Amino acid sequence: MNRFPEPLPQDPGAPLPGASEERALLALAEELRASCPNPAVEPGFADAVRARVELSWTMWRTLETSQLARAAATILVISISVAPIVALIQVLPWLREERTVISMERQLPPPTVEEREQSLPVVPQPGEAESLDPQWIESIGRRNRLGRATASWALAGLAAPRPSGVVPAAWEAASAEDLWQEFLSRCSQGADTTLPAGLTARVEQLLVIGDAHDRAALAPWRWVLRGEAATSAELLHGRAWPGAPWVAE
Amino acid sequence: MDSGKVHDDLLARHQAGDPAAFDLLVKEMAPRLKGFFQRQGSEAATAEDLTQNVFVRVLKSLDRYQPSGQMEAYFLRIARNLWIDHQRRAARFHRVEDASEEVDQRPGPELEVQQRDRAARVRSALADLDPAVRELLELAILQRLPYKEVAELLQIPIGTVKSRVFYALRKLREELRVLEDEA
Repeated sequence: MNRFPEPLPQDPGAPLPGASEERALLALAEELRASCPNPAVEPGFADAVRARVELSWTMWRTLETSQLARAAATILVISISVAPIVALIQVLPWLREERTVISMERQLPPPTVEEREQSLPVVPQPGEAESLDPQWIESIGRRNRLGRATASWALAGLAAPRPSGVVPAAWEAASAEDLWQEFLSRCSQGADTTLPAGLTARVEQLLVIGDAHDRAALAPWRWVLRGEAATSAELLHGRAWPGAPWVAE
Repeated sequence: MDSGKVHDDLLARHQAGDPAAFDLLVKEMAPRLKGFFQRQGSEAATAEDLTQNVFVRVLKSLDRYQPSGQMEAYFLRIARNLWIDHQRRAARFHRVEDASEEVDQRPGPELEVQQRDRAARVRSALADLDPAVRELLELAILQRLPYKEVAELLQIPIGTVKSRVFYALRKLREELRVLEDEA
């Protein structure tokens, strides 16, 4: 931008102020010089300049003479120039390579006894009304007694499994011998202690209508269902093993 | 004696290892350069720093300098370039700092007081001028550079320098009259 008025005289021959004005302007120029003295510089100016020049020369000389300094400077320059590129790659996802992630899964130690017990199904506890129910108490008694019979079977070393001779659909036609075999089968296999209604009904029926042999064969079932121990006459028929709980009671 | 040749001699002596030459160069040029920066609008500390930068650049480029009797113009060209760079960085203009007023605040006889007031108004009028006009007066009047060197420095014809110097002095006179009237 031109701060001077146009048209301006472009050569030495251009019209200049008259003599009187020229003298006045020259006087003004002298006054301007007198009014604007140059300020002094701070003490130590020359030393400061020398130090800055020396520092600059020292750096260049070091770079010229020291391979280590040149290497460091090269690394610095490369780092500075590469950093923006790396940052750009990190920002732009399509420039980023898919990398295989190496990871390790933590190997957990085997569970402790306490942890295993915590993983077992929680047996529901009976409510107050349920615990006073005679039928519920009776069913618990039956299950406990059958459990004891199963345990005594195992303790006696009678591990050989015996197949059940009765199918669930034919409980009403089962004989005392069949029910005895069923009892042995449940003891040897550790079968579910839940007893089918047909089985218990057939046991009760044969205990009423059966003969002495039938009652001897059903002595274990009677103990399970009623809690009544076997009589000495029944034990003569050999329907027991050493340690059988219905004998002890 | 041509002052430019004196500076050339000083630089040659400095290059030859004469420690006094550099001190003489600083003594003569440093206040002029600091005054240049301050009158262009720089604060005193910045002007000092910029003046140091001028010397550093001159000393680092001594091997490239060809003695031509224009050492002052060489210094001032570097100073002008540094000032332009500084202004670009600062992106703002500071009003000219009146260093002389800070230097001499002592009360004196009435005539001295009038002279000081007049000098202050002259500096104020200079500060109020357009930067380009002020720069021309700085180079041609205050730094006493020959018109030829001013023309080379500003890259304009020498006749234009002459006419603009008179125009600038007229503008300074007008500004001064305004300030005198206000006073």
